[in-house]
Amino acid sequence: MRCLLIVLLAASTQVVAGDSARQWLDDMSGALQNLNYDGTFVYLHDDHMEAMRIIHRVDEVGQRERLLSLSGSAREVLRDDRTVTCILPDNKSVMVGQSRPSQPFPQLPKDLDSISRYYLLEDVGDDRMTGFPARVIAITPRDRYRYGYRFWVDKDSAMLLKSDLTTVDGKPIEQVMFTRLSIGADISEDDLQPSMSGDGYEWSRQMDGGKQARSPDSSPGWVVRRLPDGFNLTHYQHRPMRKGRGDAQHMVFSDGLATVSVYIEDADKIRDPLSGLSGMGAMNAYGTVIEGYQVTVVGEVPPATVEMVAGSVSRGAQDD
Amino acid sequence: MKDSIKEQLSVLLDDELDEAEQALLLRQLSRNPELCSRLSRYQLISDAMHDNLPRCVDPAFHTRVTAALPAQGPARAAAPVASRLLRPAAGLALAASVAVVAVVSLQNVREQSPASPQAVASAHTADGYIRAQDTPVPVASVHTAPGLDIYLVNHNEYAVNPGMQGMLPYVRIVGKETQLSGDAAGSE
Amino acid sequence: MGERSIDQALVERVQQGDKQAFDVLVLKYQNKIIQLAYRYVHDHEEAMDVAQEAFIKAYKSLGNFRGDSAFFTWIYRIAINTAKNHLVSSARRPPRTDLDARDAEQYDGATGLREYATPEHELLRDELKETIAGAISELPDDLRTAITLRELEGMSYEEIAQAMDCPIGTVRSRIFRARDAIDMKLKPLLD
Repeated sequence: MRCLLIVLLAASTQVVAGDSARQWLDDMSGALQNLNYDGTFVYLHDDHMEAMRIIHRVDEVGQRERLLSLSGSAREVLRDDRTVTCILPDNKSVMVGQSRPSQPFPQLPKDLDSISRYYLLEDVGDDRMTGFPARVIAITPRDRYRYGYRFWVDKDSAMLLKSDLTTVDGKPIEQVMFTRLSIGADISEDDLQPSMSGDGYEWSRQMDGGKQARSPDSSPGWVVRRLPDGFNLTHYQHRPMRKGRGDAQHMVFSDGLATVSVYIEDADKIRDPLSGLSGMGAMNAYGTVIEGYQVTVVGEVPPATVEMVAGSVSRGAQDD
Repeated sequence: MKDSIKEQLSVLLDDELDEAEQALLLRQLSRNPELCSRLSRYQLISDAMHDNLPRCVDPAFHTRVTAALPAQGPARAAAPVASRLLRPAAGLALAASVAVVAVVSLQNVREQSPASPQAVASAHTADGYIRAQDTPVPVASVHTAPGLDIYLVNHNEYAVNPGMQGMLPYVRIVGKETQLSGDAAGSE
Repeated sequence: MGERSIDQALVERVQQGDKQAFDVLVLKYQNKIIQLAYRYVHDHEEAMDVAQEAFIKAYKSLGNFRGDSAFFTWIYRIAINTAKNHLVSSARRPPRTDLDARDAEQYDGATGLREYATPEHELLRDELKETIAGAISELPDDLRTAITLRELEGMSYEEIAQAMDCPIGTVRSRIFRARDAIDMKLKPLLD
């Protein structure tokens, strides 16, 4: 066993820093998906700190997760490969939706390659976090249009211990940090069940989205003329946002890491249209009216980016 | 042991035994440990030819597994997600989108008044944790607005989540203090 | 040849309460699963513990097995997750990339790293391999051809019958007699 360790250590020192960062990120992604874990973390953003617990188990039927709030009322989200169930005791409601396959962190070499055009991936070195020896991996944007990330990854299991979403200068905007974490132990069925019975709650089911044409050729009739380098159209939908509100055209752009949504709706149908900048945590939004349509841009990008994108939306065909 | 039954073992291994023969053979396997050992050795030959022999070969391994099996048969179905929840007898009403519920949950938590000291008084802030306003962006102030949540919730489904995989969108939803608002779900 | 694969038939029997059917599934896949576990935990005893745990987990939740993938693929995934959780709970790092089920078939077991192995176990494995290889080379041509086409080329009885220009019954018999001959040399090593 000792010989094995020595050989592995020797091999690892030869790895280039960028490749090393990628490897750690890949392993981290694998750990989040494949391991059993049960931990308490704090979620910090906008002057607020919320404590939550996450329980994750992988078994013969796939992944199962339970996320519950430890501050304030007992909100919970339960998820498996098919269904998401959100339980909100404050308004006595349960919402059931389709489990969207979790957008995995880009793992394929080609995805990470294209991301490194716009972000610098670095293995920053060792640290300690939540009582575990950790490796720090930084994803630094190469321009001011994007946010970056910093991850503390457990050296043994590659489990995520802490993550910061940061500005281009490295200042954290959103933080998720485990204060207690158990990795690899068995998780009981009991721990994956909600703490309330939902008796008397109002249940509703999420409507499926409209057609999800991915090709830009589905001509929404609108074009986004200014996007930061590397952002490409990844989804397009024509779907209702809310009952009685009419359809929205929804374009999703991504550079592989950050995503920006552009929503275009008939301005007459909206009661409380967004105007100007707003946001929550790492998500920023900009709303404006263009030719009688409410244009709303939302994304985990800096405010200046959503503003720029919104201002560049106009009628036309996306062929330039 | 008759050749005919040994031959059936061989055919079973090759997945070429028809159903009628299968039933009979399986019954005999349960009564005859020697037949089992033989099957195990035939399988071993196959594994050896495919170089699938583990370094530690223990032909009795399967007996150890069978001995450790629980008395009751396999479960019919795992407890479904949220099985403890009492489901309504009628079907689920369709909501326009998940935002119908989220409207209430996300309703303007970002109060104008500064957060109470307890909210962020911890070693975490020593990390340099700051509010979004402090980002070096020429913007007067960034705040939540009514009507924002519907986009946030919808957009969240498309966000790539490097950390927390699929759970971060829900962290953002769960991490909101719920405020009952006059704008009841679905009333838009 | 059965319409459904034997694995599917076995699974259904287990779901109906037939434990013996599960025993057959274990027999079929024990070596592959132990070998897979070993590649993660690098310890014989632990590999067997992991493999045992994986089979037991599979048994317990066989009610959920939908049959939309092969039983082997299913147990393979259970075994990987079990091995990884084992590693992590004893503070060891799981390997960097998962072993693909296809790769596992071709993996020749040599890792290039010195591995800890008790001499007796390794001796047995090597001896078994040699004995089997020796026995195969001593088989009459028609038996050797039949078993080689079946095992190494993965051909069905039907295909082998065509290749060897003989009835399926003959194919069946030849393969059996090949195995029987090899088994005669194998049995003394394992008793």
